[in-house]
Amino acid sequence: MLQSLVLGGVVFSYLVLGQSGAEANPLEAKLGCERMLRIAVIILIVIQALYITCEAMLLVELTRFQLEEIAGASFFLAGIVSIVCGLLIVFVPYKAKYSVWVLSLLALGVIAATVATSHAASRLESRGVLMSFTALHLVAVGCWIGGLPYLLLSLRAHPTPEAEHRMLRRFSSVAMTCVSVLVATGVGTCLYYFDSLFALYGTAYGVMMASKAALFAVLLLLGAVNRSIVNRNRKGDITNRLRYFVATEIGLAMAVILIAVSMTTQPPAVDLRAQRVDGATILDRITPRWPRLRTPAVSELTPATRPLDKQAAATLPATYVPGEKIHTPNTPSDIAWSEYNHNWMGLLLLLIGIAAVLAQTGCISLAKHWPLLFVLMGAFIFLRADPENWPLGPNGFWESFDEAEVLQHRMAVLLVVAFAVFEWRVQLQTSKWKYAPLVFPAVCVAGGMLLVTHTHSLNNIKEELLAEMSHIPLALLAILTGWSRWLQFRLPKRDQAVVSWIWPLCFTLMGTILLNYREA
Amino acid sequence: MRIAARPFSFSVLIAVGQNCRRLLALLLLVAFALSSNLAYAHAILVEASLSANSTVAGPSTPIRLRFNVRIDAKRSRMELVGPDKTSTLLSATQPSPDTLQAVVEGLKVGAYSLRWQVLAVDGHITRGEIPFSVKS
Repeated sequence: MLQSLVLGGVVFSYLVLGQSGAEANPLEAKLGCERMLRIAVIILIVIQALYITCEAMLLVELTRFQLEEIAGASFFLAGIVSIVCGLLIVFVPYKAKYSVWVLSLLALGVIAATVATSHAASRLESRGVLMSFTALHLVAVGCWIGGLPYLLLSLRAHPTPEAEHRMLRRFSSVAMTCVSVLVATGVGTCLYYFDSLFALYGTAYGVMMASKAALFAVLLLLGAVNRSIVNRNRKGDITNRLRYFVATEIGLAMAVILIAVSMTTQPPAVDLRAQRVDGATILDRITPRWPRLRTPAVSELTPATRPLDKQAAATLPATYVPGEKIHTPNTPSDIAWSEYNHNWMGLLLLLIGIAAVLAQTGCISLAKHWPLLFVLMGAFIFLRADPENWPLGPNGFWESFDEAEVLQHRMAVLLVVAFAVFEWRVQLQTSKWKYAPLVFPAVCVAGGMLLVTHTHSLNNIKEELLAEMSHIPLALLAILTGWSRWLQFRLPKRDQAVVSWIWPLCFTLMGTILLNYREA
Repeated sequence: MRIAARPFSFSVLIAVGQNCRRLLALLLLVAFALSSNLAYAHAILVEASLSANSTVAGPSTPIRLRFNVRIDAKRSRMELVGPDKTSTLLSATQPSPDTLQAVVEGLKVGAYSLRWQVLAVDGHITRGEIPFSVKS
């Protein structure tokens, strides 16, 4: 994302803002863009320096090589190139005649350093073609997505309406070109990384690719809406609508980028020929069945062995990352427990979705208390997520906190309850804090982004992949819920009609998916 | 000189609030940048001359491991763990950008384990273990 911001800043400042005429180029906009570019570059330098330092130290520990030997590795050299280019960008005088060329070259240098450590650079066949596709893909992301924050900043500088329109049309042309490049290079890369349609749905890489494509389609739809607003050029549209749609576009694009990043932790689908999950298994898993509404007894679960002990006894897979959580198969009772939990959560979410829909219509006044159902959900998670711990299991409440997963569950409980309280007060219009309505969208978007980017095993384990097929749609729906709710607060009342129905429907769909969740 | 105390001003709070928003935006950008920087490709084993739990004839056997991507052989290693649990670092060569190769000699009858660790071009380590046994 930072590489995109750097390239986007250069392209926007000189190609869009600079070419749109002096009126679109008020000093405030120009200075604002330069400031944002410098901040992005400084953060890039700091992150890269932290990354290569931590990675080098980790490798010294794991490989027992000296630091001088690690410093010759490609990732280290690529990081140094990125840092040097970043430092030069900070010190180049932006007002000089040659600055546009120097800054462009340096920004491309940062992109090149990223390409040097990508999947494409490590392939054996068609390396040149794949690296070219990756480079063009990243450049297109930078010019389009990276330019959006600068566009938002420049709109706030209040240029004249004519100059604003010229700037928007220019950026729209840049965006259209970038979308074409993204689609072409994306399809081109897929032709090398997927050997069949089977690979698209039978591997974790394929499932992530499909989710990226789905969210990209939503992004294109939003981009088309923005383009039509620009073309219509109606008075007040920019201030009242376009700014918020652009902000939503940035948010969705960040989710797409995170999915892409998550994909890079997986081997390309073409490398996993033997471990694919077949269509019949997937179909069987997603075929609707009656949910599990009766729970197995706690005594039927596997003995309350602490996860760390389970890990120590687990069989190592063929390939693994040091420190990775090793998948351990569950017993039928464990599976039944997990399915019961997910199915009841689905029922709760479905009720919440229906109540939220009813609250929107205003037919039933009691429906506006739907956020309180989330308190029930929090209590459910607290009781059932970790049966080996208090109050259901032998491990004490404070003792259980030494496991990361238990801590995550407890934090999720606090988050859900806080979310419920905030949103309930928003529904009743009793909250005086002006940011209270933003808690709901923030929690949904954050939850969706976390779910979409959690790490996967390298071995394309069948059960993990099948669970992924319900987690990914949930994550995408959570992201859409958050952003549609945010738009509902920001847009004028006459524009809220469509977005105000999106998030309740997303809740209903999430509930339906969880009601059908199965692990066997 | 007496400095008059200034009354509490809400504009100060607004300024602090605006700075807090900027700080929050900056922190979110840093968090996002950190998370998006931490994920890169990893090398997985696609072919091995030794299969797990196989039996080989001693006293020497060639070992060849092929991965799905180019690896940094200088910073990768193979280790042999013997029946007495002692480990020996093997001298590995790289016949092609995606392969590690070594010849193990002096094998006695018993259970062994080959542990490999490779560094991919992106800077990430992956590991694996192949147990096998040696017959007379």
